[in-house]
Amino acid sequence: MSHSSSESGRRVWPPAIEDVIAARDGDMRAMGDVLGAGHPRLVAFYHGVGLPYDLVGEIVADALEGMVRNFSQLREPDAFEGWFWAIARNRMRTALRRYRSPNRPQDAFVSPTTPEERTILSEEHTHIRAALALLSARDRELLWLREVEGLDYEDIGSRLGATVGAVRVSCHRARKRLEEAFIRLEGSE
Amino acid sequence: MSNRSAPRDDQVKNDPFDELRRFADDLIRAVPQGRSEAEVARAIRTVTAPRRRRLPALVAASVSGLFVLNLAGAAVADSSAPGDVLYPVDRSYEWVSDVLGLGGDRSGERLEEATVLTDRSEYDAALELMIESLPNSEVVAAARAIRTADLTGTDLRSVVMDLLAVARQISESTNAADAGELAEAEEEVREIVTDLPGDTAPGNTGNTPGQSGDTPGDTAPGNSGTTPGDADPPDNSGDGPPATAPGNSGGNSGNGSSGSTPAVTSPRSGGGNSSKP
Repeated sequence: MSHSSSESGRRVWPPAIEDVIAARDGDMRAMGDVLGAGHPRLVAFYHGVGLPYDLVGEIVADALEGMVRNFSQLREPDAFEGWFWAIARNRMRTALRRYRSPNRPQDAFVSPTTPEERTILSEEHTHIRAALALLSARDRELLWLREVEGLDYEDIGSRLGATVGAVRVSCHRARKRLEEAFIRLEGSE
Repeated sequence: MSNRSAPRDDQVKNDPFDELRRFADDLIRAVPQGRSEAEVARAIRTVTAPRRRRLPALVAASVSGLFVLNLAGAAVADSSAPGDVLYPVDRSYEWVSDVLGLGGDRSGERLEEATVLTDRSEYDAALELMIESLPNSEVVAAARAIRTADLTGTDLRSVVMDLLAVARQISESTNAADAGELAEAEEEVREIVTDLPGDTAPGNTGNTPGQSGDTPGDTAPGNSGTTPGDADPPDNSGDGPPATAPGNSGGNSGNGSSGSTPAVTSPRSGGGNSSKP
């Protein structure tokens, strides 16, 4: 399912199915490992879709609590990734409803305080950040889940009530918009 | 970390999706593992120990609820009179506040309750309440005397209401530390007692009903005082202050009233005329 994985120490993503089962069955150590591997991806996702820095920490904590609370209800360990991202997206939407400008990307300069914030502001990623900023929040979310996390269309759409076809079309359009924005920005340089 | 400004060797230019994935990888790698572990551990702690976190809030909410209920109960029960369902609750609250040192003089409240009882024609209960709960010995003695007097109906009502009025004066005078007013009011109480029919006044030495007032010389100035026995007309009863103080033997007010119309008078209410028709 996943196209991307990163490993750093015990941070294996996607986690082994045995770990997911153990975590679901109440093994707190396994749960710590599984969610510990997911934590940086959550942080990256929320930053990547352009949430304000000050909101990211709050939503990450909220999403992790939701996952811990609902882990025992995970019926199919195979579907762990879809379940993980469904909670992440639901928590983000809840937080954005409280936030006044949900579509506003975090482009205003804020002094970086964490390593990931310094990464966001590094020159190397200026181009892609600017291109993402030209997209809607929904496009950024779809692109991240599809292109970065490698979720299939069914996983992306199932928990939103969208059909596979609709998700495929949406992803296709989002990709096209990103390419156009990217090219336009390159041309303007 | 990933604060790199130079392009990497494997970087594919002009592919936004590769740029996006590199951006994501850098972000993911930038998050320290220790921070991930700490945040996940905190989430697990938060969720798996909810009772401990909620307990203080639950206790605070319960205490607040009980406090509000208590206040409401006390407020509702406060206006109850003896015989009411809530009266024991009212007295219990008073007892608690007395124990806590928050209680004050409750004579006023007792008198209000006695007035309610009088309005309900529960004279015995009103007198009993005064005897039990009022601090002034004159009022208590008068209430006892009225209970034992041979009075019924409107006569009894009239006497009880007079006693209540004077008792209220006494309570106010006591609170205001007005000794003169207090002495006057107590004198009125004694008058109420001496005007009672029969041998009820404190210190009386045994006049039998019908004998009181037999002695014209004992009558107060202004009182016709010439008609002994039962023949006093109503408008004469209780005229003037009594010639004898409680404890004098023989001949009370000289009303000669033997039970038909107890003369309950107030010196300040019309020059010693009877307060009663």
